[in-house]
Amino acid sequence: MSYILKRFVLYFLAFCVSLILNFLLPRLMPGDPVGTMFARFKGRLSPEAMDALKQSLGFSGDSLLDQFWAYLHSLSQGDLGLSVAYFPTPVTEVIATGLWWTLWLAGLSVLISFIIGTSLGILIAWRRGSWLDQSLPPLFAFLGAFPYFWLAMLLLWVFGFQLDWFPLRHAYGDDLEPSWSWLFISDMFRHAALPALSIILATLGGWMLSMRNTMITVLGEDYISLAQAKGLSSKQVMLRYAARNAILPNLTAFGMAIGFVVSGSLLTEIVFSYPGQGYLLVQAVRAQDYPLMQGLFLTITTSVLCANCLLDLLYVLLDPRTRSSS
Amino acid sequence: MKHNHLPLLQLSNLEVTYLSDLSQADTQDFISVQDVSFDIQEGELFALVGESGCGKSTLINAVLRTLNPPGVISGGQCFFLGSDLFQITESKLNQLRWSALSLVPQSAMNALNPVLNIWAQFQDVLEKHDQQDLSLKSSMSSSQIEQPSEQELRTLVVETLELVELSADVLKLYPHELSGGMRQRVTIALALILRPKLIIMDEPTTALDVIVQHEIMQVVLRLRDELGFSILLITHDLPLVLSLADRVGIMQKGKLLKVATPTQLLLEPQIDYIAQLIHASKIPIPKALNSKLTIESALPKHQAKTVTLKAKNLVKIYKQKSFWKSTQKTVLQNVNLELYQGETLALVGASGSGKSTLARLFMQMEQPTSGEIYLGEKRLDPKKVDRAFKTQIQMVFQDPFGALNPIHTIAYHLQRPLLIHQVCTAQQVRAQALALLESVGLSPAHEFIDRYPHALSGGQRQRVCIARALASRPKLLIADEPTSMLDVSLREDLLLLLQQLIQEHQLSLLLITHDLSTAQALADQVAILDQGKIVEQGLTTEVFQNPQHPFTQRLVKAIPQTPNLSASQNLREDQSV
Repeated sequence: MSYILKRFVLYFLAFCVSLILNFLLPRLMPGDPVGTMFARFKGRLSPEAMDALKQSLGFSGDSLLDQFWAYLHSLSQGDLGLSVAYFPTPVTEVIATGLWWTLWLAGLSVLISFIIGTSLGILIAWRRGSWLDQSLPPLFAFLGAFPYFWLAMLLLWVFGFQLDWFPLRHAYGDDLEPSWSWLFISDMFRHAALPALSIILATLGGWMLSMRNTMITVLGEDYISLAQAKGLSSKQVMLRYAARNAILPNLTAFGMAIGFVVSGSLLTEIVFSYPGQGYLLVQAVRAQDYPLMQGLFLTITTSVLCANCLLDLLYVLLDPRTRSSS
Repeated sequence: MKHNHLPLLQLSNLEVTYLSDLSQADTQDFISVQDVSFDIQEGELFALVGESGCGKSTLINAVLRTLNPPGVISGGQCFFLGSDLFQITESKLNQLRWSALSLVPQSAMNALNPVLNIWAQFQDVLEKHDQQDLSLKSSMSSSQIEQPSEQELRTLVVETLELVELSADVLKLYPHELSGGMRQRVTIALALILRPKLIIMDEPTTALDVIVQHEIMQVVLRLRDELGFSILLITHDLPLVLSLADRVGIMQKGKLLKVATPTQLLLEPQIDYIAQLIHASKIPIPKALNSKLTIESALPKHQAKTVTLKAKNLVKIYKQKSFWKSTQKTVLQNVNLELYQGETLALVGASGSGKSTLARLFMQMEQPTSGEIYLGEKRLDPKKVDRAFKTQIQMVFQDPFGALNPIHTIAYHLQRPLLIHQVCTAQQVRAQALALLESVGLSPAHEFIDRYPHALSGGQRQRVCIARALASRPKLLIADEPTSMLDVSLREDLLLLLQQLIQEHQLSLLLITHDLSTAQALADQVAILDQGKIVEQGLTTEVFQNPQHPFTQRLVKAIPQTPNLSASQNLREDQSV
């Protein structure tokens, strides 16, 4: 129990640090982001709006500490200021849509990749030396050797451009309004297919190989021989004894991959003009949209922390040895 | 023993081959076990003895059909309860496995699935096997044919745990929460749960310290008398076998040399190898004592002994700080020791008694909580680590396989201490390293010096470790169980080597061990450590002949008797009482 509490305290501290950094970084940057930014808005914004923008960014001339309190206050209200690139949409709203699409695309593909890769790893380790074991690892090592944006471009060109099986860009058709209709959802799948496939192809091999390798080490353990000698079915030995132990290191890697999900598989999203987090981040950098950047960094760090925290809890459930280490 | 019955297990002409890797042309099939035939009668304890690598474990894996690829059974039959284990289908085999033929695996440390609690590991095997069969065998009187309920299964498990003197509390624990001895008992209970006809025990006690070893074997023998199963015991502990087994099979290089009763073996150990094994397991008491005597008589009797190392009131307390509370664990309490030049002090104790901690303090890997350590006249400064002291104290570790970095040659391992401790110049360093190798009996040295550790056997590696420890010309050598990972036949040579080096260089040796016979053979003095306290200390001969402290008495009693007929008779009478 105290182990879980300790974890929570640790993650809370990490969260505080990320908040402080997120607040300080734009203020520590060399040059004057405010000046450049406001220069671009001269004439386009009313003076009141300019003031509000300055206020929301915290460039009010108050002391740093006062600014920090103001920042925390508005944060607690869910107020991250207004986006510059998508003016006058609030940052929270911009991020919410981006986050949704990223979770949908990258989350789904990382999950699929993890599940398929790990299962294949279990299988080929169990049948090591079989033709499957001989052929799959080199194949996926080959695919994994491509940068995944390159794979994305290849897929886009072959299946989108040449064969015209899948749409070329965006998360859904331009002629559709987001709704829970069958038409819209099937369109979402069609748009997600290529980018998801490129991520899956590029990452599957990693899951498979790492699972295969730990699995083979575990298969050499005495408790596997004992389980076989106990007369348990091979399915039970494979899953309950071998895979159950071998999956633990893979899960740690999965936690980190979730971080990768939220920061958006940047290049894939750009190749497909997919409106996820990564795409937003690029937009924000291009437009020198500091509020949006700040908001994005905050969501990314927070979700990485949350994912790892959840995984730690899962670990406590899955590995009894962590429970007593407290 | 009724020999007119059909044997329980009849193995004939077993051959196991490790197939060559097809992708590598230059490898060849390797026949690991060849033409092995023996049988086991009902209620018999049949022991298989041999060095590691002789094919014992391969043999059991073949019998259980749990060989890992590329190993395959390439010939032979194994009749068990009327069917050939090598021919029957997997599902038929799975029914026989455990319900009639179970296993107590080597190193119980890793034999239990770390992520399942003990109950779950009983449960899966109970659920798997024929429930009807089970209810017949269980001691529960009910004659139900329907599946026994979870409660009834639990009762059965608890009963079995009681047989091995464990309480029901262990069921909800996970393997890592149990001590080595408890885990071993759990695996024995697990092997007994379906009341099998034959239990294969693969080195069931090697990982444990002597006292626990003794207790566990007592439990096993008592259970055999109560429940009437047969045992196939795999071991390299010959004294144990000679005192307990009904028949012994001796294996060497994949072949079964001989099957005989212990009495026959001792009376006429016709085969050289057997004589060698029997001799080696006695540990070199006569030789060692002889050479010690000559040394002592050569020295003037009343010469004052020089103290090399002195520990005064050493205390070590580990503080564990968790988030809210801190706990203390006293590992060493007021330890006083004196070690003389040219002498060996054996530090004997069960695992967890603080032996290794004491060694770490002497090595300055850790600092004592209080107390003083003197090297010669000078006191070790607890605040700073002094290289001059490190030069004078060197260590030989337990595991020769882990103690040498596999990516460096032997030359590298020996030259580094020579240079670090500035024993010689860079020009002489190779010659020095060669000389060191010669001095530990690795001769001709130039054949060994450029090899990598993996190209040496365990015994040779341990010699390299000793040479490395000698490189800085220390005054004190600390050897932490230097022979426990080696085969019996190698131990004697290594111990003799250590003894010879001590006399040659007038070193002091602190020998850490839980093996009393080693201590007996090598040490001038012994100190018995129990729970961080030295409970008895004195001349080896006195301590062993007349142990005072109850703990020492238990230790001495747990030494497997040197195999002679009267002793083995005695031990068996012990059993029947």
